[in-house]
Amino acid sequence: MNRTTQRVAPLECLLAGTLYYGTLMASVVVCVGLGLAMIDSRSGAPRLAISRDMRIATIGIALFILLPVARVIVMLVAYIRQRDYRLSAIALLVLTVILLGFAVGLAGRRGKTHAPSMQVRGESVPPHEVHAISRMQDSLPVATVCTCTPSLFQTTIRVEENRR
Amino acid sequence: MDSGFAIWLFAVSLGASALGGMLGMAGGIFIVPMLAIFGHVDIHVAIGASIVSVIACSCGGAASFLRGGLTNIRLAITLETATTLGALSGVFLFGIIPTSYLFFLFAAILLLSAQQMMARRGEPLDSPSVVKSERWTTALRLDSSYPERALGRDIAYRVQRLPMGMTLMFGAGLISALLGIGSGVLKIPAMDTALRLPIKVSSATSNFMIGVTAAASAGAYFMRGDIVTSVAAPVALGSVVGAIVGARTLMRASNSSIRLLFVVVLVLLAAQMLLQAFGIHFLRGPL
Repeated sequence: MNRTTQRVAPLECLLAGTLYYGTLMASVVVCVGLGLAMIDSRSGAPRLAISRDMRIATIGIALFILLPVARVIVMLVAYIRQRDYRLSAIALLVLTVILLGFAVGLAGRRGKTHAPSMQVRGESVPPHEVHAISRMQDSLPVATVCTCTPSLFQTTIRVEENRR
Repeated sequence: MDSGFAIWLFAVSLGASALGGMLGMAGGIFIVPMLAIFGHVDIHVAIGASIVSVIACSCGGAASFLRGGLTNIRLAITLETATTLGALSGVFLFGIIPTSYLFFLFAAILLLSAQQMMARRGEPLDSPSVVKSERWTTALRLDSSYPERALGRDIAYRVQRLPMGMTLMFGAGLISALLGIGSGVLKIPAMDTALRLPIKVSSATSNFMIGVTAAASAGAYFMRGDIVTSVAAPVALGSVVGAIVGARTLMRASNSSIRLLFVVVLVLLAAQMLLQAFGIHFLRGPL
């Protein structure tokens, strides 16, 4: 047993540490954000999504998504140091594809005329919540108008815009 | 979306992830249908939340496999070129494919999983020593060995038919991005049939790869704004806790009874997803 533990290469141990502590950190951030948001919603703010603490949870989610990217970077650096150029090239390719994914998403957001569907639990999300979400995600709420009461929705958004 | 709904999301993901963890699979395949059917969450939002939880489960579970020397990281990074490219293609398809098709596809994958769950996996048949090394696997030094506790020694294995494995992995990445699941259901045949890896190695390596595959699509969805924090945060947290709980109960519960429970749940969810697909189809037809 002890022999096998010693046999495991240092890169594997490094990756195990990165992933373990990364998951722990991201979970704690999400937990804190969500916890604060729920406490907030008890003491006034009627909807969870409006809470500013939700931004902390969003950062936690971003950490989760960045964790595998960090893992590929660790592998890339390790293979370059080992002068294993074939695997370095492969790691670089994987990293490029992932970053391309980020770029595609960013381009999709810029080009998109409408925000994602906010229809949750079969009901359209109330305007103030859409406003909060869109402010958080920096996109226009126009087409978040879901299945029901589009006219009511549009009016509210117009009011919001006027206020600005 | 009140605190109560957040707690419901947390509980559902915890249950789904624990259930999945008992048989060593990610809970995404349960989370998406549960959110879509019982939570009435838009399926795109459910998929966005699930893909984050898939990353969380993969990264959280990878450490113990790595320390145990079971993960073949050289093979993993090589296959990840195929899975991430597949995921990127899935991202392009995600916005185009009609919602009812997503439900259909999901039902098909659920049934495929049920079928795989019925047929028990056996070790690949041919003994490793007979097989000669292939050009690609030699060039990249993918052949390796793993410690087998039962025998108290290391067992060497060879990686075979890499191109076929890569092709299947591309499909696995595509499905993973489209449906927000780890798509172990496609990775397992790729690992068993094409690459002929020992089961322990393939489970560990597949788990290791899932995180990177999901990151390619999750990154795109996150940047595009498809991931709704108020849904994704409780789901991710519940999955992490559920994965820990599931791994603990794995030792206690009997394997065949969980298997049967799994098949029943999978078939029920598949039936419901099919109904949902038709329902949406009919609703949208006349309009």
